[in-house]
Amino acid sequence: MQKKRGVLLGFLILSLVVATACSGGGSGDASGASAAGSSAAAGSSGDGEVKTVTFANWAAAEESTQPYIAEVISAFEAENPNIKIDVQSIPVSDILKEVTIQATAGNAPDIAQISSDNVLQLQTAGLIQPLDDLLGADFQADLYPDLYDSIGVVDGKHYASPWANSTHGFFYNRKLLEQAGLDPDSPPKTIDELKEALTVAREKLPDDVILLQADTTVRTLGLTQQWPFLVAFNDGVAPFTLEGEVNFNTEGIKEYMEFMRWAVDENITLPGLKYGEFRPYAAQDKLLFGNDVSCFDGIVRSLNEELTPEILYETWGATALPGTNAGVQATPVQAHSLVIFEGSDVSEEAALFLEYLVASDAGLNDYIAPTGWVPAVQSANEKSPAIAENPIVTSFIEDVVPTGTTLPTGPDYTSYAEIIMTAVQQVITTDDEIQPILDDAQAQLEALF
Amino acid sequence: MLHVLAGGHVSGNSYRIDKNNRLASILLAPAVVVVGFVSLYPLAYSGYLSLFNYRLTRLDEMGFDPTANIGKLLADSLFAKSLGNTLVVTAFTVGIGLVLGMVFALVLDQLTERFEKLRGILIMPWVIPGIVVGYLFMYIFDGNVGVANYLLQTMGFIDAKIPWLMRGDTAMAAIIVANVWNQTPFYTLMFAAALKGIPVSVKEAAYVEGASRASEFFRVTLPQIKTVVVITSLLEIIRNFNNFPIIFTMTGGGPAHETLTSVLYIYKVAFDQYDMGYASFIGVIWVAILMGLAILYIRLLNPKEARS
Repeated sequence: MQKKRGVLLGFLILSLVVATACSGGGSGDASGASAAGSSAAAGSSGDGEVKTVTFANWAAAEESTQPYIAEVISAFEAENPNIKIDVQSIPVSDILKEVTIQATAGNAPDIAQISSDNVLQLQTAGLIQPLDDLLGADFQADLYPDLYDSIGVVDGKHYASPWANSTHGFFYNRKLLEQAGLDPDSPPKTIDELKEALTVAREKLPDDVILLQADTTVRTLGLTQQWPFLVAFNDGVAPFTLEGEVNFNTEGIKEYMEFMRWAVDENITLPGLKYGEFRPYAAQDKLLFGNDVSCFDGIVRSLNEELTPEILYETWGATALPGTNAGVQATPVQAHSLVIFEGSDVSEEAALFLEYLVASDAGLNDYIAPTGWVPAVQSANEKSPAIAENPIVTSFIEDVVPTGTTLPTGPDYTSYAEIIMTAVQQVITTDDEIQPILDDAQAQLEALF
Repeated sequence: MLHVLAGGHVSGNSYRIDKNNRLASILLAPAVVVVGFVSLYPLAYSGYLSLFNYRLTRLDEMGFDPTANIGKLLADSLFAKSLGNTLVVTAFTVGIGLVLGMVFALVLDQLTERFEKLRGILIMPWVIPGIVVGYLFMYIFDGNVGVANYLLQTMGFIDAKIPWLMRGDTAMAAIIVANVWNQTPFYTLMFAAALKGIPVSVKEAAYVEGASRASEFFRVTLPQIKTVVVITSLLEIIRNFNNFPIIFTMTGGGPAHETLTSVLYIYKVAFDQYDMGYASFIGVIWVAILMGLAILYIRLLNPKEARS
């Protein structure tokens, strides 16, 4: 009996010890893990101690950009020995979900790279903070105002800073245009010209050449990529506005749908691919027209070692995407943006890092220039000669940026994208009549407002 | 309600709590508390959230509204479609897997000891994680560079490449093929083990009585392993109702929702539309369906205890 009591007593003592140890560890973990809040746990208490800024981004997750961003981060840490950057590399297609889950669970990163069409979703959820008071006045004045004011502005406050301009442009392969008997320096500027060029090219070019880079996936990036075509077919009218005006069930959109069905049936584009999945074809000279961001240059070169910058710039030209038949070209302004989360204990350090990424010599020369992005700051050409000398970037600044319009993203952009891109998929993957698909999508879009 | 009496008896039950049981309870208590918290808390919190109109992108409209999600569900044709897709995937995967698993098990049962290692090879697809299986079959059925098209074209079955994952019917078929490949070894394993338990003398007696091979299988072997067949099938039904990684990787529910199953739909509602309240509500409904299946499973597993 006494033996059993001894065992029980021993167990209770052991339990107490374990419980005490767990609670001690628990509180330690909690302070260390409540990241937004406390990613600076590593010594935010005293001067001279190292503060940690958690940086969620996809630049560190992609092979073509990883070494460049690592270099910029190293340079930043060398210049700011009291700040350590804790990199969370997350694939681009997962980052919104990941940071939303992290933030709602009280474990947000301090700063994150976000596509500009997702900024309002985070803002509406109350997860990010305005940057106007965090960022320096000189830095804000240096940002291209049209770009800065087009992304994440709510009640006059900026909730995101552009890192790089990621507006889509129209790439054309001069070699293939010539092979198809078309003028290599005169890419189509309207939808009718595009259809004509595609028809001619399909007859002349081999079957393994894809003619048009069209993202038909059900995701926001798919809708953003298709937006200029939707607007162009729709005579310059947006399929929907944030004020609740829905113009999806129209003759113009019906024409767009017929065009997409024709494009898939005639092997002009491949269905169900993300726009990034067309880049390997481009790297092998198997793509005629691209609808892509300026870093197409750097990524395509990374996919084919034989492609030197000289060969690439000789082969590929860039301009604005084809517009309405009246000649109106409208491209939604897009940016790879940086946001700082609510509750971050290291907001100031995160803001310092943000400015460094966007506007420092290292940020521009070691990341923006080699990856082929269009910079977000006006001083870039002075700080980085490589950017000024890049013909793709120059074409983007001269031809694409002036056609920029604001994309009606809003907090429910994912739902709009789901409805519209599902309708596109229904058209290209079935033989169903188009009109009922449009009726249904129009009704679903209207129900969202 | 049960009342523990002073003598250690529980009213309405002959169960007796003796000192050893008390010690066992004390020893088990920490684990039970931790496991209970880890598994029950999310479930309870989902149930709580399902009573709210809680959309992350509409925080201004957030509030307690138990009927809102019921209304949404009744008007949600996509949920109905996802439920239909789930039944199709489950029915075909379980049906085909069961038949193939039985065939392989019967073949294995006839093999001599020299071929015993075949068992190990046969279960390999089963131990591969679903996400890997998904990627594997996504590339096999890729419209441009996939092995499926290459083989079919080489053998002259098709002229043009088929965009397997971009047409509703073929995408569903591709998913079922991947599921069957992944899950058949489990049936094989279970059935082969059950077959080992049938005394050889019983089979021999049937043959002595003049039974054919087919007759022996349906009248002797199958009745002997019936319980295993039913329980294995039920386990696989539950598994396929919850199958996420293979479908998510191969099609993401597309094209145009043609392969969208209910678990995928819950994920989309929660993490694409950020409608946590509605996603939780569908999740609760889903848990109820699975609980029903689980109860059925337990009853089949232990029919006597279930009856008592």
